[in-house]
Amino acid sequence: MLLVGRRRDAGADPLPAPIGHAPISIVARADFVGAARCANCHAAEFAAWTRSTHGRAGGSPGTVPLLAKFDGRPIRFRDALVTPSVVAGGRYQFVIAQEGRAPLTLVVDGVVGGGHMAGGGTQGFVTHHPDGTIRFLPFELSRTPAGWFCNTGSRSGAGWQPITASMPLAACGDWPPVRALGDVARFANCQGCHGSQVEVQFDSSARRYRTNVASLAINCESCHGPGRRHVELASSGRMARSKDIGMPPLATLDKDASSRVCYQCHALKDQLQPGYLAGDSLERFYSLGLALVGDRPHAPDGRVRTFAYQETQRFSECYRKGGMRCTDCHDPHSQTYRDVNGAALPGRLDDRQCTSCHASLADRVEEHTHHRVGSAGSRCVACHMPYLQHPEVGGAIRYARSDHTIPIPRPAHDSAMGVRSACATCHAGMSAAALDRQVAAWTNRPRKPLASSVAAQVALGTSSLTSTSALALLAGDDHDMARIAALARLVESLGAGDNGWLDDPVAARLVQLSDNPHPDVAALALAALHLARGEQSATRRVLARALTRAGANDGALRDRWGLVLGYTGDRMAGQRQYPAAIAAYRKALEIVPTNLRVLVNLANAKRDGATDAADLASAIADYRRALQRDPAPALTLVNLGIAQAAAGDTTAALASWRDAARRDPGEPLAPFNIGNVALVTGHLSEAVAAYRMALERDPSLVPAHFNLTRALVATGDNAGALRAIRNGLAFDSSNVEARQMAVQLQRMIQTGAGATRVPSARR
Amino acid sequence: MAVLCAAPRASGAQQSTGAPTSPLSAFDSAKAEALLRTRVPCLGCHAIGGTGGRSAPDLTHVASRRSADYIRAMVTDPARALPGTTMPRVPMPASMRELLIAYLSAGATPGALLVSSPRAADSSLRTGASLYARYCAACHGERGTGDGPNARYLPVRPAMHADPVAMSARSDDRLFDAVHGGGYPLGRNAMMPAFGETLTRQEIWQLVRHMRTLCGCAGPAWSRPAPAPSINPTPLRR
Repeated sequence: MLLVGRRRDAGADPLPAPIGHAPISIVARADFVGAARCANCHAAEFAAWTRSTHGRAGGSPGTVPLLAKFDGRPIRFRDALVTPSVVAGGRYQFVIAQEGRAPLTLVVDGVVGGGHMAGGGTQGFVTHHPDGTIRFLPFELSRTPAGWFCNTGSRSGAGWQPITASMPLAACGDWPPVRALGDVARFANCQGCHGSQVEVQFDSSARRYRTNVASLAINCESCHGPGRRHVELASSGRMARSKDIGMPPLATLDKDASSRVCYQCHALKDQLQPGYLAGDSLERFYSLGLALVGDRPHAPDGRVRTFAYQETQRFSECYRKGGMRCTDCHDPHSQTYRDVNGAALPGRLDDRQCTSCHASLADRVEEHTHHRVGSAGSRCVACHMPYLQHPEVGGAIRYARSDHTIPIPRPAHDSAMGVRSACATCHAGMSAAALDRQVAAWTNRPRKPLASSVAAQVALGTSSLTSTSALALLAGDDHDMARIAALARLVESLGAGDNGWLDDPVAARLVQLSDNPHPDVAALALAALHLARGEQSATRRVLARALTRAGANDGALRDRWGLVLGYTGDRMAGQRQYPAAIAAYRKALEIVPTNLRVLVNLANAKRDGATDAADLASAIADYRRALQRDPAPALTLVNLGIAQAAAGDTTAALASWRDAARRDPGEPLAPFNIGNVALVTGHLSEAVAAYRMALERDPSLVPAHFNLTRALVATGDNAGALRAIRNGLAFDSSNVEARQMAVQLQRMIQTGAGATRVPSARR
Repeated sequence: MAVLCAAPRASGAQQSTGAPTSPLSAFDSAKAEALLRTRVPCLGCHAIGGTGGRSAPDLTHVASRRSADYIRAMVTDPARALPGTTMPRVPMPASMRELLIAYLSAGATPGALLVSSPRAADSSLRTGASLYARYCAACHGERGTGDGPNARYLPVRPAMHADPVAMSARSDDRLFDAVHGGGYPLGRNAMMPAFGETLTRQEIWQLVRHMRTLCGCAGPAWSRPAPAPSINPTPLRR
């Protein structure tokens, strides 16, 4: 085997450089023609689509049925009244009234969702933000229970909660609005899925974002790709003579290519490159597997553990061992149901979705289901595709998807996975053990085993890896998603020197997997080898061979590999293990040398872990390298300024932050840091102004509230300081020191006492 | 795979009675060829342009030999159009069937359908072995060794039903489903036809039992019929 021997080479051989690539996007915005153009020739499909959930997925507020009336009845928070209404001209809006503040009007520029999901539909609203993005408002509607709710996940961690009069507005994680349509690395975002042909870019000349959205519905070209050439060919009369109709025929795609059309949105995915539009290669722009690195959205058998989509079908036997694609059950135009041969079915509960493939069961339903024929429990989907509430959402708002892993009910196993078994959906009063005994009594034979790679993960649980368990995780059947999950687990244990399990047999298995046709599997195996043994000549030869083998298509492999290494660097930096973070980032840059994000994060790690001036100088040099190519440099300038300040060059730091503020007037961290310098140098009025500017841009920037408090106390404005600290506590009520300070300030105001110490800023 | 056949001929052929056969666009022809390669089983038995099986008539120039109505009838319901044929009726979306009919009959003379008889009624008397010999052996071999006379024309070797290792991993239900639905829905080669609209369920189970005699094996333990319960199950409560 190649990887035996532990020799560490003094001078590592360089890995092959990336091969020059043609532009990875083959689609331009001008290539899209809009759904209306399709209707002329494809009337039946268009009519079906207009009635479908895709066709009714969103739009302007006057055209989309709303789940609540905008009739002026307010949504009551503890500290705010939010009034949805329709005003003259048919404008829909929310007016937010809070004590001591001028009312804020947020115009509803779009409606997303219609409450269509059978497992609990919701409806959200978007508005144009001053920085050019389009952002979701925190107030959303649910069907079950019917009413307003908001997502508290990023604040209290309580998931989706109905809005009540005891809830502060800041309990909503999206207050102030932070979720933008499209892929914007700076913000929480919804990628391109809540609309059609969504594009967001920072326009450096306009100093704001530029957002383009063709429609908030999911239109024809979202699946078929851009239609301009198709329309041109049809209009010219050349279509009859041409095999090329200007767009790919979706009906003849294989199961993976067909499923990828749906996975554009119905899957967790990590961005590899910005700028994806329908018609581009999804695999080139996104990884559908690497979302499992650093997260556990699925249980080992694929069922939703936090939040997921219908991509869980890749864990199903129907997909892995059969030919199942989304369109076998779902009509893509109408989103109604059908069987594998295209025969329309009356609804989502119809057994023929399953029995058109599993015909053997069609005439012995009761023997198979142990439920009376025709009863609810005898339906295929009752046991094999139960609706699972997404745990990350919590239990207050119904939001469940039909389980697309299509499991066999195993009540005890399900319970161990933290999943409510299908049996318990109806038989809620029975324990998992009792249900399991019942199933055992019915079958009275060995049960169908789990896939071995899944079983290995279940057996390992949360135990530490050993060589034996690592090999078990990587062995087994051809189950790509389980293999990705296993490799993610292995990679996560690397980076901090916890490599004891990675002996020669495991390394040999990783070498085998580095040649896997699945790009995520290959990238994870290579990243693991790179992290653990990347200094050894033998390993470097393996890495080099993989890059050479990929040839001109190395970009897809490199981006995934670099993403895994970059993630490892982020994780190490988050644990303040800066040397390990720097090593991971450096390895990432061996693979993706032009990746700005990795370069800036490397500089951040050097800065935050600096032990001397040379480390800071090295970080500053890296920031400057990044700035030479950064199309949206404000945040890099902010970070550069922090490094310059740490190096003692306050003048340069202030220049960097002012430059950042000039290039992106919406960036709050530039004035925040300017304020910090002003505060420590005693320029209090300047500090107050800077913090207020930062908070105008991001009212949830908690350190700015607390530092503003310090500045105001120093100026003797205790009442203003009290308001500032209360504003900060609204977003971070757990800050004990700040709470005490608020009490103290209150007392001081009442007694007319002088200043006191204020809490330090927490970043 | 190379191009399957010459492009459908121009629509200038003399028409007799009935609807004229309309020409397919180049795209529709290419789509039909793609479906023939990947979705429907026709090329398992028929050849077009030198590609495909040899156990049924070559379809390369079928439009010059058969009327459009005959082609339509055979694709729609072979047993009705040609009593006694082993050709199964293939389930597929109606639009796909129309496309394939149009592709195969491009340039054909409409003409009346000559044969129309009820389906043969003796199928329930047939044994698993005779059914296997009639419908399966051309590809899978008389003894289930995957080497029937048609096998060498296929892109993948037909399943070896005599292989006890492979067959022990497949449940009886899986075998039934493969015969009933064909290769496509199971993610196997689409050239394996679906017999679910041709054979009765009883006949398909007879075939499954015959396959078990060929391998001398049973399916995996989890898939076998359950023996009588060893404990009294507690009635489930809601």
